[in-house]
Amino acid sequence: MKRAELALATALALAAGCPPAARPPASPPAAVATAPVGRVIARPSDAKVIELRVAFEAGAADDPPGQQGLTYVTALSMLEGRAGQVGYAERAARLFPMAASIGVHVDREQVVFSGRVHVDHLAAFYPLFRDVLRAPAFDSADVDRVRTRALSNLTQDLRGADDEALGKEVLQAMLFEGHPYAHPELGTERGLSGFGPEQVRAQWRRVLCAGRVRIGVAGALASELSRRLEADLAGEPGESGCEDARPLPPPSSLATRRVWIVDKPEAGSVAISLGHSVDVTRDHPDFAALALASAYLGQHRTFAGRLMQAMRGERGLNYGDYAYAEHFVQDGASRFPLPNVARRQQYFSVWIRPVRPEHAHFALRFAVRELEKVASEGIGQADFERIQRFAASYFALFAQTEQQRLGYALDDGFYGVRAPHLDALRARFATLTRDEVNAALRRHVVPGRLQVAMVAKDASALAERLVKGDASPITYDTEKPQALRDEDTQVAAHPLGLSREQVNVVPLASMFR
Amino acid sequence: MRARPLAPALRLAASALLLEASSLVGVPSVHAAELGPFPKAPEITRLDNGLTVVTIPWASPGIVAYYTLVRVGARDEVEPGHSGFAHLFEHMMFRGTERFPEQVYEDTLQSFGADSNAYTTEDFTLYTITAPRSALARVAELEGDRFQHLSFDERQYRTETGAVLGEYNKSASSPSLKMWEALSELAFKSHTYRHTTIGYLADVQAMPNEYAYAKAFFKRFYTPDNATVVVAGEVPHAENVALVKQHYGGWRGTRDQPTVPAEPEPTQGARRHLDWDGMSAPELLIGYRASAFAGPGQGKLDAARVRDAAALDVVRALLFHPAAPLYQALVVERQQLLALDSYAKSWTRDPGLFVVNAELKDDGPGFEAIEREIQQAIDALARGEVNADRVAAVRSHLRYGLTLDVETASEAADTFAQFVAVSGSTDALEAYLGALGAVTAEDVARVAARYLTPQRRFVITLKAKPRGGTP
Repeated sequence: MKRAELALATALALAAGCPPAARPPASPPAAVATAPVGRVIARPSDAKVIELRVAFEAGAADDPPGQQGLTYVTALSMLEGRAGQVGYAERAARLFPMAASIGVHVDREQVVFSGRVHVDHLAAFYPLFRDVLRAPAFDSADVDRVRTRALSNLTQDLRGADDEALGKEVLQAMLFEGHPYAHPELGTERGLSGFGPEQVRAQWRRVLCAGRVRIGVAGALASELSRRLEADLAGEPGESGCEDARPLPPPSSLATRRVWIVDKPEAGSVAISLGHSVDVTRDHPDFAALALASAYLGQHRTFAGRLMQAMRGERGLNYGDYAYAEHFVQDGASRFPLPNVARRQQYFSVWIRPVRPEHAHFALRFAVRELEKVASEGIGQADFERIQRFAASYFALFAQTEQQRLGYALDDGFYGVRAPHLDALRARFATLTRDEVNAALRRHVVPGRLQVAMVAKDASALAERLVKGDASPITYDTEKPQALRDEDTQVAAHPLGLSREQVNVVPLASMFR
Repeated sequence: MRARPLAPALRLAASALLLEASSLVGVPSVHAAELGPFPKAPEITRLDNGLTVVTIPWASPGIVAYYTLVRVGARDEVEPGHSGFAHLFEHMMFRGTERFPEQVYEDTLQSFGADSNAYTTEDFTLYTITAPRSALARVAELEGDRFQHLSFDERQYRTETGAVLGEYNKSASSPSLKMWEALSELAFKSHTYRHTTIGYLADVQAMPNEYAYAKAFFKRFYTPDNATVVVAGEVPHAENVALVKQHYGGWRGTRDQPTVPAEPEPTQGARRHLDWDGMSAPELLIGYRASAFAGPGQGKLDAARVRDAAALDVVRALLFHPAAPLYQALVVERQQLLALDSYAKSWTRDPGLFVVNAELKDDGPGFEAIEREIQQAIDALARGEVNADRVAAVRSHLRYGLTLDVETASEAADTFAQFVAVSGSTDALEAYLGALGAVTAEDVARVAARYLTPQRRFVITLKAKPRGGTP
């Protein structure tokens, strides 16, 4: 028999404790959050590995102004700090012989804790997992340690050592300027020094709480375990202070192209990300069409996409070129998406992996031209049939593990979709018509709104070339078919339509400051 | 395949589940002997032409993993100026044949929604396909064709070298690539482990002019005696063998055996510092010249080497896992390090490196203080200051970990292939599990004393230059 749904005592509505930023506009008072029915998923089986997945509808978008990074530090302090009477070292020592794991991933609107344990050790594991969520201590030493590492990850890893990730975050900063999505989950330099353990605890109570939770359990005893976990999470901190997710302001209605070039003198090649916000999430009738179109343009790390075939395959420009209908994070070392990075507002994007500096202008022109072509002319019949067949089968590989299956099920709840997303998506792929996909492209892919993020050395010179718009021919050290050469000539002269005001050189140190 | 039973001291008692006040139904626990990545033993057949076929029974409804292992890697790149060719050739394997030109190959895989990729290491190259079970016969046909009849022209070759350069460039913003290059050169003077898998930048840049060398590479190393087909899924072994015989039966050839220079035993360690133009926390990369997994003979396991490999994995967990006292002291309590790690599953065919990587804080103790503390912890193990209970905990961790880590048909195929790759033997995984179960505190002390000494230690340190100038 199912246990009673989670219920919370009346919480105090939080007053806006911080001065309102210029954007977003003031939010209505926080409402008490009550977890609705249907937020618990159990997938019982005879599997000996127990999988737990607890997703909070919370993330970097919940960081208060001046405290960017607070949610990230809160979540990581739960994972790597004392919980109940068990310190981090002791918990690690207890988990160790079981080879059990507790992990966390933080995104803009979801924080997901995952647990994996062999059924032999479930009795010893469960209290540890439960207390990470229900009884974190937020000792100063743990919070400070996590914060220090986050600051290093932000300033030295993201800014310094990963131009591809930096390009993607800069794109989001452009698309969501002044919006709760603008900063990375890690936060900002100033934001990370804007809070202490008290604010961390308060954030836990506000957003990583029962009213925002969805629970998934798979394996042996999943039904019983899911009910137990649901009941346990209804306690601390669910009793008071749990806020509903606040309404989001709309993304800036950016009607013109812009380019931000992050000036990085030591960059040996140029990382490029481009895209724009879209009003399409998984529950939108056009989502399947847009996802199929994105697969046509560049299914992540496959040769199915037009950009990959043309830019890497035919021209050897770089390691890969992909397109996405929604926010995408790769799941570990696989080529498949990580679940539970859902958002209420999405963006369409293209990722051009680093190109040689002398090819950057050409590569950008190529991608923009392809987007303009596909938005205006659509996908041809043969390509449509090919990508339709491919995607209808390929997407079945996205949920091979129980953690992935649970993740997708939890995301179904986030988006309010009734049918399991991947099954429905694949079924819809099979029935879509070319006209439907092309119509969706015309509606939602608007090349004139493209925002472009680049990470490059000699940024000013690159900016100058983009604005000036002179031809940027490409040379090869091998013969190419004439048809390709002819296309290159067109690409090299393709107008990007960028005025000086539309191209900005951004100092590296100013990003996420 | 069932792992050999663990020693009685390690056998896990069956336990009913108790969760505080609740009374959940007890579930029979799994006997420790049943722990391991594969619920059922793989079946193995070696064909007359030398090709090995492995079937791993795996519950993956509708999905099959079809992996092809070729035992060629950076190790085999003995000719100067040709580092990175095993990896480049991995790229070339997607450029088609006369029967299935590259676009036809790609379109065919796409038509049934297969996921197709590959990767290369210092010792092997692994081609990975995950596809619908219904497409197995077609996959075998495609793969059998390209492994025998790969055909690419110079234009295709030169174009692909651009992608390889792009792959080098995408990693170049991270200091890791430079540190690994430096460590490899410092630790090895003769052996081809001296260069990284992707190769020296100069060699990668020169690749466009090496078409003939690349063509020859295929004949030299892509031979049936050097390959293993590993299929994981709900497929009878007889069906796999029949398909492989049908599509690979005519494959002939014997692997080239380049003379890989032996690396002399080190008599003293060395260190090198790198100044980094970009931003980075101070980084420390230590490589101890360690053991090999493979036996000296082709395809033969050396029990002593397998035992050393298992014992070193125990050392790794004892010192560098987040549960380890050293990790807790340096990263958590004193917060002198931002990160500390040592890489699991890093066995190599020839004597390779036991690697430790640390990310320091700008305002923390310097490199040498951290190195000293790491070495002191190792030396304590070498002196026999090894807690037997902790060793037992590590063994349990590693064995349960094998079960938890392998979740899909793809991971099952990958795990098995890696063991074959570094050993040349399809018995390697079972041998490793057996060795792991038998590691004692004495073994831990022995390998620490034998391999993890300052005389065998090679150190790379990296620090960012102050912005705007040289240090």
